[in-house]
Amino acid sequence: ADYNANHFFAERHSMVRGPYVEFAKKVAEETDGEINFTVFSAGSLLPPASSLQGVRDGIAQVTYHAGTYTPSELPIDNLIGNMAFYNTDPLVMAFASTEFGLTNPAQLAEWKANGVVYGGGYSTSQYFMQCNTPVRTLADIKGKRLRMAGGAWSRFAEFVGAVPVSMPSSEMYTGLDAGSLDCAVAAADALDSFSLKDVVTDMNTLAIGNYYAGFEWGYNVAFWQSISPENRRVLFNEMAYYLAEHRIAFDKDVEKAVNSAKENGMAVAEPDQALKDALAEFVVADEATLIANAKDRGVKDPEAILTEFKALVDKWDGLLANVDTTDVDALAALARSEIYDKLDETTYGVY
Amino acid sequence: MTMLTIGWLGVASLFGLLALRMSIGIALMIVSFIGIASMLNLTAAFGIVSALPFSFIGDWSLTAIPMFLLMGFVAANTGLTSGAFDLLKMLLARVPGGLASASVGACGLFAAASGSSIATTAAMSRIAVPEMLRAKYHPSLATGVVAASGTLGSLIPPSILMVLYGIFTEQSIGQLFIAGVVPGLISALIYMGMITVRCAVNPKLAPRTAEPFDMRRFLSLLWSVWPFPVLIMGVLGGIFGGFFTPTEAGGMGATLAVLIALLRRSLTWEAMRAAIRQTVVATSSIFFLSIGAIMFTRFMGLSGVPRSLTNAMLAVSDDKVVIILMVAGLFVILGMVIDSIGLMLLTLPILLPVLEAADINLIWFGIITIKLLEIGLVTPPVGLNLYVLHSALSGKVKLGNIISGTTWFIAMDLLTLILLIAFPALSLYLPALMAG
Amino acid sequence: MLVGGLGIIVMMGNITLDVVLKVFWNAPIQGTVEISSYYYMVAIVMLPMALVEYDDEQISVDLLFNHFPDWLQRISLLITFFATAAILSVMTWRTGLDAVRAFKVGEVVMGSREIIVWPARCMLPLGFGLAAVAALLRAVLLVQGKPVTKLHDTESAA
Ligand code: NA
Ligand code: NA
Repeated sequence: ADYNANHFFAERHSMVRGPYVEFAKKVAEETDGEINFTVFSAGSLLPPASSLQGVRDGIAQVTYHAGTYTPSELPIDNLIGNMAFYNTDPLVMAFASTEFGLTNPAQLAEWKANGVVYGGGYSTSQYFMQCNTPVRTLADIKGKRLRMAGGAWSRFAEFVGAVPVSMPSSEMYTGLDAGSLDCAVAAADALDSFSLKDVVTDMNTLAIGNYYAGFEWGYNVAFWQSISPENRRVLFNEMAYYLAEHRIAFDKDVEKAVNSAKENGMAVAEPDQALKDALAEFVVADEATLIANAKDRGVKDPEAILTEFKALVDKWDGLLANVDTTDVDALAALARSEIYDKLDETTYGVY
Repeated sequence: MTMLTIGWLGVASLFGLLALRMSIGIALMIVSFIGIASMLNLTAAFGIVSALPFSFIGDWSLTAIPMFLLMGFVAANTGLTSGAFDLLKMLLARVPGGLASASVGACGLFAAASGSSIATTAAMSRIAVPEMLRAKYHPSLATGVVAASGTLGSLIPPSILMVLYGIFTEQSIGQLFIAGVVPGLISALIYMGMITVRCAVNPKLAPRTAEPFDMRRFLSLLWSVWPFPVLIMGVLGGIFGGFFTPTEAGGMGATLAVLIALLRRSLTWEAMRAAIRQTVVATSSIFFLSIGAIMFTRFMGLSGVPRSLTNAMLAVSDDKVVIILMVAGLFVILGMVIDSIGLMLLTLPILLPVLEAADINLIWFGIITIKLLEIGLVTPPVGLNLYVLHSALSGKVKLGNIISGTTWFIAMDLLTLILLIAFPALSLYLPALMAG
Repeated sequence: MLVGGLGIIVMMGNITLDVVLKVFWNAPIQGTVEISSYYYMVAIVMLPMALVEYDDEQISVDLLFNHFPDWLQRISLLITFFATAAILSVMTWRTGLDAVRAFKVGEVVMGSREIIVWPARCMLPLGFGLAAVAALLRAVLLVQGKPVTKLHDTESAA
C-alpha cells in the first residue's frame, strides 16, 4: 500500500538521501510493495514545527522531527537533546540516542503520550562557527552575532559574551553576506548545502555540540499496528543500516564542503585555550539549567535520566572505538546486535 | 476512486466554487479539507488544519509583508511620494506611458532590497498605482504593471525563492543571485518596451499631459521629491550596509516612512489611522487566502497530481529543449493552483534526475524556474501578487481589471523566457565572469 | 480590528528598536523574532478576520457571478455563506482543541529565549469562530433582503 514519508531537509541532504529516499526503495522491495513510502522532502508536506503532530494525525506515516521544536511536548527528549556538549562525537550520539529512544521506559512513555512510535535517531555532524570575520579567541567571540540553534546553543553564546540571533536558515546566506550576522553555527555541510562557502571566510574547529534531538524515523501509531511483525522487522533492519549510513555520508559531505571552501580561501583555525576552557566551564554549569528546565516541565527525576543517558553514551564511546567507523555494514551490524535485534517486533510500539 | 482522480476532481470543484463568488480562501480550504478526508481520512484532514495555519502565520520572513504594506499606506496617505511622481510626470511627459515605465524601474530598484515578490508588490502598489490613476492611466495598466513588476522581487537578488532553489538543488546561492541580475533587467526593459509601444499606439491607456515644461515648477517639485528616494535608499542602504536583514527591512521601511511624514508635518492622525486600518484588512485577507493556498498545495501533493503530470510531460522526449518547454508548460499549468514554493518543492525531486541526465545547467534552469514560478504569482486563482495588489488598493480596482492588465505582462514574460532559453549566456555569463 | 492595528504598530516599533539596539549597542531584544511571528502576526491576521468577512473584504472573483440573474446570485451567496460558516467551524473546532492542548502542556517555542506560545494559539479559534458567526450574520441579512456585497465599482474605467 502507499504511505507518506515526511522530512523537512532537502532531498539531497545526507539525512534524506539515504534514510528516506533509498530507505523507501529498499523497504518497498523487501516488503513486496506492502509498504511503499512516497517521500515528501523540504517541508512540502508538513512544516518543521508540525511534523510530530502531523505523524500523529496520520498525514504522514513516518517522519523526521527536530525535537527542539516541541520542548513542552517532549521534555525528556529535549533534556537529552540538549546534552550536546557531553560528548561531541556524532557517531556516538546517534547510536546512544537511538538506543535511549528505543529502550528508556520514561522516554518510551513520552513517545506513546505523543502518539508516535519511535523508530530511530540520528545526529548531525559537529556544529562549527562559520564566520565572515576571524573568530579564534575568547576575546574575538565577544559581541559577535551568532546564528544559533536555540536552547543550549544560545545559552553558550551568552556564556561567552556573544549575541545569539534567531534567524531562519534561509536567511543565513544574506545575513553573512551583508554583515547583519557574524557567524552561522551549524554543521559544516552548510558551506555547500546553504552555499555559505561564498560568504564565509573563517571557520573555527571548536566543536559546539551536534544536533540529535527528536528522531529520524517516528511512525504513526495506527500505521505501526496495521503492519505485520515481519514488516516491522524489515523496518528495524533498514533503520539500523541507514542509522550508520547517514552518519558516514554526512561526514563525507562535511569533508567535501570544508575542502572546497578551503580551496575558495576559507581559513580554518583552532580555538585558543581560553575559548576551549570557556566551553568546558559552560558544559558543567549548564547541566543545572537542563535539570531545572526539565523539572519545570514535569520530568520526574531528570538526574537519573541524565545518568542513564550518560551511561549509554559512554557505552557507545567504548563500542565504537573498536569498529571501523567508515564501514557502513560493520556499524549497521553493531546497531542490530546491540539495539534492534533485542527488540521484539511483535510487541514493540504496539500500544 | 484513486487519489489522482480525487485530486483532479478537487481542481474542478475549486473552479466551480469560485464561480459562486465564494471567497478564494474559503473555496481552497473546503476543497482541501474534503479532498484530504476522502483520500486519507477525517483525522488527517483535521490534522492539516492543525498543522498548517499557525506555523504558516508564525513565519518570521512573512512579517515583511504587513510592514511593507504599512510603509506603502503611510507613504500614500501622507502624500510622501506624490512629489516624485509629479516630477516624473513632467520629465516623462513626452514618453508614452512614462509613469508606468518609471514604476517598473521603481519596482526593480525595490526588488534589490526585498527578497520576496509579494513584499515588493506590497510596498510598491500603494505608492505607484494611485499616482498613475491620478494621471488618468487606465486601471488595468496601472495595476498590471505593478503586479507584474513586483515579481522582479524574486528574480533580482536577494531572493528567498533562489535561496530555497539553491538549497534544494545544491547549487551556489551566490551564483544564482548573480545569474538573476541580467534576466531581471531584461524583464524590466521588455516591460518598459511593451508599455511604450502600447501607449504610443493607444494613447487612451496613458493620456499624455499637455503641461509644458516650466523651470519654476520644476525647481519647486525638485524640493518635494526627496522623500521617495530617501525611503528607497534608506531601505537599500540598510540592507547592503549590514544594518538589517531583508525581513527586518519591512519594519525599518515603515518606521522610515512615518519619520519622513513627521518631518514633513504631513502625518495626521486620520492618515495614520487609515494606513493602519488598511494594512490590517489587507494583511488579514491576504493571509486568509494564503492559508487556503497552502492547504490546497498539501492536498495536491498528497493526491499525486503534480507528480503524475510531471512524469507524463517528461515522458515526451529526452531532448534538452523539449524538456525545458515541457517544464515551462507544467509550471504554467500547475502554477495556477499551487503556490510557488510548494510547486518547486513538489516537482523538483522528479525533475532533478531528468535534468541531470540531460546535462542541463542547474543555474540556468534555476533562473528559468524562478521566472516561471513568478508567472504563477500573477495567474488566478492562486496568484498572490494579484490579491496583494487588490487588497493594497482596498478594492478600488476590480480584480478582473488587474487580471486583464497583467496578461500583457505575462505575454512579455513568455518572450523573456524564450530569450533566456535560447541564450543561456544571458543567465550564465555573469556568474562565469565572477567565478573567473 | 483595534488589537490588530495595535499589533501592526507594536511590531513596527519592536523590529525597529531591535535593529537600532543591535546596530548601536549590540544588544538585540531577545525574542523579537518569536514574538513578532507568533504574537503580532497572529493577532494581525486572526483578530480582524470576522470584520473582514462581514465587510465583504475577503478576496473573491466575481467575473461569472456578475452575469448571473438575481435569483441565482442570491442562491450562490446563500450557499457561500453556509459553506463559509461550515468550514470555519471546522477550523475553529480543531484550532480550539490545539489551543487547549497547548495550554495543557504549556507550549513554548525555543528561540534564543523560550517564548510561551499557547496564548497566541487561542487567537486562532477566536478569529475563525467570529468569522463563522459573521458569515451566518450575512446569511441572515441576505434573507432579509439587505445588501451583503460591497460593489467595487468606485473606479472609473476609462
Ligand atoms: Na529581490
Ligand atoms: Na497562480
